[in-house]
Amino acid sequence: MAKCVIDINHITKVFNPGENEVRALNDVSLKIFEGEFVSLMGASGSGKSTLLNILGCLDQPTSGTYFLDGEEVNGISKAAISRIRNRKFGFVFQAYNLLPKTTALENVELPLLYNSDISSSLRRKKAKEALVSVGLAKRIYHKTNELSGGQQQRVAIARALVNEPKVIFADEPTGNLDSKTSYQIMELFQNLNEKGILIVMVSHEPDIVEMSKRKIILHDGKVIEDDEIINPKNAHELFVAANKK
Amino acid sequence: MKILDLLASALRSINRNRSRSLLTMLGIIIGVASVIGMLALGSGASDSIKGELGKLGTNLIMIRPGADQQRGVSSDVTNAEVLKETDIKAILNLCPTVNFISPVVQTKSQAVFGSNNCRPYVTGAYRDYFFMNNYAIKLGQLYDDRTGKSLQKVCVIGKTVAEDLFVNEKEAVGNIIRIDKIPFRIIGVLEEKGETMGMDGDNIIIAPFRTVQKRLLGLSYVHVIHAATKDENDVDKAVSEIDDVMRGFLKKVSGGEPQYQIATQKEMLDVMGTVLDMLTLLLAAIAGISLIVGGIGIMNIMLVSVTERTREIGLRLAVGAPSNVILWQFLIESIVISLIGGIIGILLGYALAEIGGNVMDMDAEVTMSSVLMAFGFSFMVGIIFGFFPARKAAKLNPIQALRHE
Repeated sequence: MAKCVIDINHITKVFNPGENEVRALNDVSLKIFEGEFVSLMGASGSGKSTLLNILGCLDQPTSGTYFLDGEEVNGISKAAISRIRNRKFGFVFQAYNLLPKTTALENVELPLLYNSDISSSLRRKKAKEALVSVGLAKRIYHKTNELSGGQQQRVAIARALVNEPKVIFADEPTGNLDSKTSYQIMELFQNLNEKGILIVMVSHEPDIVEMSKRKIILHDGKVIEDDEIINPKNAHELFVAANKK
Repeated sequence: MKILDLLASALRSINRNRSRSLLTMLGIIIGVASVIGMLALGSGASDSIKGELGKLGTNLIMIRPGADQQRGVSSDVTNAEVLKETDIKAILNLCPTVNFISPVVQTKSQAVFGSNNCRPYVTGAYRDYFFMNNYAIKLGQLYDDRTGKSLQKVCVIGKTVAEDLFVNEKEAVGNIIRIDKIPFRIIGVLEEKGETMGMDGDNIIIAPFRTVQKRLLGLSYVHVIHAATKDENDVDKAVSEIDDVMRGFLKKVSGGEPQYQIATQKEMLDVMGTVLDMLTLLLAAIAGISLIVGGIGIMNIMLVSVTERTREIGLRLAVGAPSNVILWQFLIESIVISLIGGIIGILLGYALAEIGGNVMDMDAEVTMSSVLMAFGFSFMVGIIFGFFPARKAAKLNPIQALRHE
């Protein structure tokens, strides 16, 4: 049986405690295992982004427990949480969030800047490798504003990859892209997942979700559906088919 | 994140916003340049004034009547007449360190030659007066009044008087001018003294003591006594010797209080020096205020920068930047800005001192200590005014920062 990587129990998140309190998550328990490709779905306000932020240690739950690789994350120091994000996680955002006026290479190097175990030459080497692996070998020294949306998202994925993370969290990674480019990005994710990286993605596009392996639907802060996707669609085939049209 | 990476990132960020960074630095540049320039010009002015006063003779001791002045008014009118010519002999005999001495009377009179006239200071003194006050003769000769017996109506004139009364100063010697209607024969013209603190040192006529005291002023007393030592180091000793004689032998005391005061040129120099140094510091302090204003400018821009780069900060936090590293990133950026500003300011300060020195015709030297002070101050400004924005950045919540528009 695959190892349990993420194990949350009775997670609750309350914003604005008091009169206008918002219960973004209400008693959510989940287990996510090695090698999974999980999609979080739900209407806006359902709590999917909040859940992703908590899983990605960008936010802390109001109550409940979170075990990552068997170790409890609640209550550890801010520095330790930064370290977890830096060493174990990669993040991909809908709006790419690249540094303006800087090269693709510098953007990808960013997470390694905060890892003092890695020398600047190794940092450079790893960042180049990551850019090559997302198919941007020819764009290494391009400024981010000289790249297309799809290319920018690839830079963001390379940035998420560069520290060899255990988990990649993706918040609507295809939200700003057309469908063909979306397929290419999903193809990258599927390849990374093949290589053993656990992926947790928020998306509201059903056809994108069909390319992952597990679909979790939230509603009003609760998990209302949690299904394995049998025969996920192959993003590469979809891309080829779309090109033929 | 290593310090070099932080430094590189700060330089990159400054370079990305070049014109804004330069404008931010402007406050520091102006502040540092004016502090350095002011200190250099101030000490240059102080040196040049001290030099001018030094020309007047550093061995000089002046004995004046009226010690107990209250609110600038002599409390005892009779004190004004306390000094007599006879005191000279006593001082000269009883004070071994006093080598030169002369009584002095002075007045401002009208001098006339032909249709020209002027209003110089007329001084009556012994021949020693010239040596004590560093007067040198340029044309003609000095009068031979060593002991004050002379009632000769001769005089030596300064350059300004010579120019006012004669077409050419060379014509002056031998001519007779009238001072308050009394004819005086010019026997010499003095070397130029120049201006001292706005006073024309050449608008003078010097004549034998008794001639001026009796004939011109009709006085029985002496305004001031000038004395001098051979050696500059004997001045203090001479002052105490003179004080002893005045108090003891000459009994110039009334109600236990001396009726005279003794001042030395050295003292005046020291007082002047203190005043000038204080003025210089005051100017530098005023210039220093602009450094603080410059610091506030840095803080302002850094706050704008933090707001503008909120998403970037959020991203850095998300990918695992510890908040203290974010703090350092912004702090180092503001320190780098103020240090670069400081360096430019120092160069500008050098230029300011050089130009100002040339315009005002003096040696304005930038001291190492003022450079170090300015540098240290701009470093401090960077830290102090960079800290608040940096802390603001470090305290950001990554999720909110990432959502920031």
